[in-house]
Amino acid sequence: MIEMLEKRMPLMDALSVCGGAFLMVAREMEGGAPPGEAFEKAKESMRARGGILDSLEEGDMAALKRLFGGLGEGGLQAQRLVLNEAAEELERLTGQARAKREEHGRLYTSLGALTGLAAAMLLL
Amino acid sequence: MDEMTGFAALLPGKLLAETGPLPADLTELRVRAGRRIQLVRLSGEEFRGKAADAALAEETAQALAGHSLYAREEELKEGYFTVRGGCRVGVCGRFSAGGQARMLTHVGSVCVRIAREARGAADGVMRELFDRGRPVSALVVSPPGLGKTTLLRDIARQLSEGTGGRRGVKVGVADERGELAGCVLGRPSLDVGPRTDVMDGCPKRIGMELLVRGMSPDVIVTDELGHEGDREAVLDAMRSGVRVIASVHARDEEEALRRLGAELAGLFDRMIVLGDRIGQIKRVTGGIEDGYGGQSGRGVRHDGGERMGRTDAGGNAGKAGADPFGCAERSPAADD
Repeated sequence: MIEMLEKRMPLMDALSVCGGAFLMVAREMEGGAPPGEAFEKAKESMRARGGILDSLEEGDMAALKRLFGGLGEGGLQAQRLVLNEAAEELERLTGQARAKREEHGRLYTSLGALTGLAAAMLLL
Repeated sequence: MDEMTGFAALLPGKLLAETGPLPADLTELRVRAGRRIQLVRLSGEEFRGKAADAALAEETAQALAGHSLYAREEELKEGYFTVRGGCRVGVCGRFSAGGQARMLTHVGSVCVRIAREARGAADGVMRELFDRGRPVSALVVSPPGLGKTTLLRDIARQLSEGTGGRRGVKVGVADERGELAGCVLGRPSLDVGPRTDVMDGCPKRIGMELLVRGMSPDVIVTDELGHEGDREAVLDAMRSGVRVIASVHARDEEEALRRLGAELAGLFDRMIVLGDRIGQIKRVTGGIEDGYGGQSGRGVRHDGGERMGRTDAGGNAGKAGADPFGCAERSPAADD
């Protein structure tokens, strides 16, 4: 977040630096697609079996859709808001996944993916 | 990738679906909410597609900014930003109140001015930019839209590359509006030559000072003089032995003199007057001491009606000599 907003990094560059799902969205943006549309395009392969977001649940995907739908829209203040909300949401979802794991006593793979996304967002 | 291909690749598909293929002689594309899309061409203007919906202007601005308008906020405070290839995107709409911290909140219209790299545009004037083998200071005088920036860019490139048998010189470009070199993230996207350094997006006065201090250019190229502090900037550069090639919005030498004042205008050795059509070099005069419009003195030649891009027929190869610029020695009379 600090990098992208403080250094005024173009969105595609910022997403590429983050890697993973963010990089795949950046690649879709190369054709000129806005981030929300690029996410929808990349989603299919990321959600496929063995894909990078294979383990995420519908609620997790909805949070990502909101994030990419808001990225690139408006000025610095608006972007700061979008990133802060997404970071809070990912933190909340990560907490939920952790609680489920403890409750059911087994590993929820979505926890790893969510933690990865939250960590990658710190690079934005 | 040519200008049109590069530019069209940045536009949203929704817009291109309305305009159809963009003509090769396009100079401006204007998208206004609620209006048809306007194409300004060298051959005239036309409107295409149906009336743009409210979102299209905003989407166009977003797409041209690489969906990173937040990164262009500082530029947008000046009303425009520059994209790869040097195209300038003017944006109108609602700015939030708040003095200097104003921010664009709604986009109402977008104007894209397509930058063109007209290699050879300066062929007709390059000989006039030297005196005894050394570059001189020159002022390009023209109303808006007749090719000042294109001419300045090609002058920078040719001075930097070397021209007419002369070796290239170090050129500094103080590109306050980002149109001369079309820098994206500090790197020129237009060809301004191999010995050229660009100070992009900073006020002319500061840019010129930093160039002189840090890059020791032989010539500084900058556009649109006429603002506070310009006189001091030009004077400081010249005191350091740097030649300055700049432009001013004016119809002729008289108007240039009124706009800049005699003291600033008088610092230039040459005046290159453009008009009446795009790319036409109307005349080159020898500066204020010639009494404007005169053709005498200081090796100045009148080039009435020379068209940009025409090859200089002067054959000014000459010998390299030992001058610090490595330029061919040339007597003023040889120009006449």
